Amino acid sequence: MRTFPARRGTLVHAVRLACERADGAALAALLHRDAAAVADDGGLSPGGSRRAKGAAAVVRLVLESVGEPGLVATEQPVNGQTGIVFRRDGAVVAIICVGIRSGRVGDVWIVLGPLKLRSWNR
Amino acid sequence: MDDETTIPQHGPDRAAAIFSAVRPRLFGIAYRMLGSVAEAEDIVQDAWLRWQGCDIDTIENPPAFLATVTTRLAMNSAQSARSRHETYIGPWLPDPIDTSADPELGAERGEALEFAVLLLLEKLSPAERAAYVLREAFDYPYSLIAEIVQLAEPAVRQLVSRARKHLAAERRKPASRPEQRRLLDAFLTAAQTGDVTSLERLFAADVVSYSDGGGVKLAARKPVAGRERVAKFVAAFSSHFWLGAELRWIEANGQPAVVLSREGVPYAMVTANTSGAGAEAGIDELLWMMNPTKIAALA
Repeated sequence: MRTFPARRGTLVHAVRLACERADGAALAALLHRDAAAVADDGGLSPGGSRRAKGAAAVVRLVLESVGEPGLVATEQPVNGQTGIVFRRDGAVVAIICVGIRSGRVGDVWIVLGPLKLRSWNR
Repeated sequence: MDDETTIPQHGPDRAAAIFSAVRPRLFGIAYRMLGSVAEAEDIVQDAWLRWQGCDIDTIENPPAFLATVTTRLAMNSAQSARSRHETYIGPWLPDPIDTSADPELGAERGEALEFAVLLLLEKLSPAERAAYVLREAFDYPYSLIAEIVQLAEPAVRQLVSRARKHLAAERRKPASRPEQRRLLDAFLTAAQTGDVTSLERLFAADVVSYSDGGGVKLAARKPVAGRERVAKFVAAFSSHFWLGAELRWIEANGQPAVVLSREGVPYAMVTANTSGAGAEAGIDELLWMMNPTKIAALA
């Protein structure tokens, strides 16, 4: 049984918890059936920036990107909306923004490239 | 542009004061057009250098002048950014920005900042991007935008409207609160009488009805999608579902919702996610909460 569609804040909060616990099933339950994800590492290395389509692939890409232990995640304003900021030893190493579709997470945008995150670390 | 009150009338500080008053806006224009913090900062820096080379006393409207310079620099950069993205390995995302640290960029002028919009803007031509950003995020008059992007005013209106259409499908504007309440109210009337035609008129073409029954009876397990199917679905249970129902308006998740009770015992809550305005307004999602545990909390 799927959960009741929620508003942005609730969804983002649930995504953060799922990432922190590296809980793939919890994350999958939040996704739209046509969910997609992009992880941008800065576009410098082959195979670094990646795209995923479909819930299973999205879950894999998200957990590969931010599912490791030792990251501290906070919900805070990113581009005018609540996003998730991941820090390691105080430095921002990843940021997730989500796009909502029909009350579920339709898009997960994961920014990993250090140059792209520079304004968060100065 | 009313921030000129604090700007010295004369002296060497005047140029710097004018510039720093509009700097956040200039950054806002360039960032939205390029999705890159570093490139936007370079452009603002470039605009500053040009500004220093100007005889500012001859410039009638400095903020408009600076917005023009910045936009044109960003348009040039957008042209080359496009080819840069072509050599980018893998998919590209905008640089995220901390909008709590930059209240000017965040709270006051938050339009057209979300990733979804920036990613769509990236697909538009530099002139379309400029026109859309200046209009939607900064409310510039069409005549000024026409001057900035060096096109005739009708062409600019067309650019903005095309860009809007491009973005509208992806990003529906939520309906205003009174509109939201009106739609839900009209929905309740139509639903109780099982009026399929009126229901269809209230729904967006791709409306989805979600039920959370917590696994109990009556609640549809799967979402029902599409205008006609949802209208029929709602009409189908009109007779028994609403029988003897007392309706009470409440706030749920910050939006209007209605609790249905029988003899003081709540058994369902219904709310709707809506978008658009006026004749365009419609219900995108119907949300039925029938989960007994959650409903009990509404008593």
